[in-house]
Amino acid sequence: MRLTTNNQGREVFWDPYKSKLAAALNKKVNIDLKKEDSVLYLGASTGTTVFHVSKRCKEVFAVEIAPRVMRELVFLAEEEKNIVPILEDANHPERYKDVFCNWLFQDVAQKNQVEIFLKNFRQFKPRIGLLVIKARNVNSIKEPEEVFKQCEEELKKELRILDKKSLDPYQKDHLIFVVSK
Amino acid sequence: MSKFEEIRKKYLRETREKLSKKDIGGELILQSFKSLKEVEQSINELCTKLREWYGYYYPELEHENKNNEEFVKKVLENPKRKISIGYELFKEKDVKQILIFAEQIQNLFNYKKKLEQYLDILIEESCPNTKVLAGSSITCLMLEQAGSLKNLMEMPSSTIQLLGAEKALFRHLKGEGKSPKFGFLYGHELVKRSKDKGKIAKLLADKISIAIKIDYFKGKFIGDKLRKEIEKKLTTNSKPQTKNHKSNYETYNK
Repeated sequence: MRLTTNNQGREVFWDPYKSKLAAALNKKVNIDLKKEDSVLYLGASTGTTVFHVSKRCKEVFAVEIAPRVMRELVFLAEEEKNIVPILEDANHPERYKDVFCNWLFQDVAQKNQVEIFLKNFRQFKPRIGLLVIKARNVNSIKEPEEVFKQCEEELKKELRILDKKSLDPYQKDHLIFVVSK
Repeated sequence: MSKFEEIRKKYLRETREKLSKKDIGGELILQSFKSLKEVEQSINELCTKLREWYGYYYPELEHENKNNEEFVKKVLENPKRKISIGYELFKEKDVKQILIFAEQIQNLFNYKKKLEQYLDILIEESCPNTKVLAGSSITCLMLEQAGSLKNLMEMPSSTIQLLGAEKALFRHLKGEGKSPKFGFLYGHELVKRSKDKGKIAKLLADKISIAIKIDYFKGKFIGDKLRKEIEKKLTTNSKPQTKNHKSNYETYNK
């Protein structure tokens, strides 16, 4: 069980059933997040995971496209001084090219998840990258294993895969890749 | 100020600006429609409670008025009971409590009417063409199912025709049951009236998909024209087939 202390001194539970990163930690994936890292987080949503990450690193750039959930992320970013909210499409990393990072995390519900990840990896050249794939987003008819295999081959063309693990009891049909150059 | 601080300030400002300038789309319609549905539902629930409560006092009045709105009105008039099988033990303070409850329901009825008018105005403003074709309630339903004005605009007419019939459609795609011919459009007056419902739903969906595109890009008002086109097609199609065939043949020869 992982807890994070917020600004008011209260402890917040990091729920692995809601957050993919917490699920990965519970499955003993080495995420290699250091205190002095700057993080690029794609698909930040309302910022539940972003909050927990921000307490364990130096700074977070949180990219999110939907305006409705961005509203809550902005309120969070005003409280936490090391979060930057970016209302942009992760498909176009050139639109937020002035950010910098050495730890990349992606959890977006898009068909071309791998493509988006590779684009961002090329642009920012992080030390390590984590990609969560939801099989149902890539192809809802195919078997998850087939989809994961296909994604792995695409990743292997450019990057080295350090670790991969399914997030099973916590998240259904999800797989996490840990990659580096 | 460090580099990070500068970037943070810049993006915070930009994001706030973008958020406040974002086009609201059909969001106002959707939100008011959702609360209208909720209000309707709670009125129904509260009315059943009132009926149950009032039944102990004066069951004859409750029995006579089946319509909820009329019933609440009658209760508020507080008529003297004549011969009743209701409880004799009701005192004035007990009746007073029922009346206060009824008054709240009456307020809800009034609020519902106001909300309906407001919703009508909203639809008239943002999608006048679709309103003429489909009516405001069906427009709202379709908008809710699609999620936003933009999503609905991007839909082809075949999808619009089957909005609201997803369950039947996917059952059919699995290989069970017939394919549905209409979803929300079943409530439309033209579809209800005709015998060949599927055909008219198809026609309507076709015109609605045109109308919603015009509305989204703030084009001219051609709703009347589209509706006339539908009605024209209906009158030619609804004639018996032999006659229709003949008349077509004659016009062709001319």
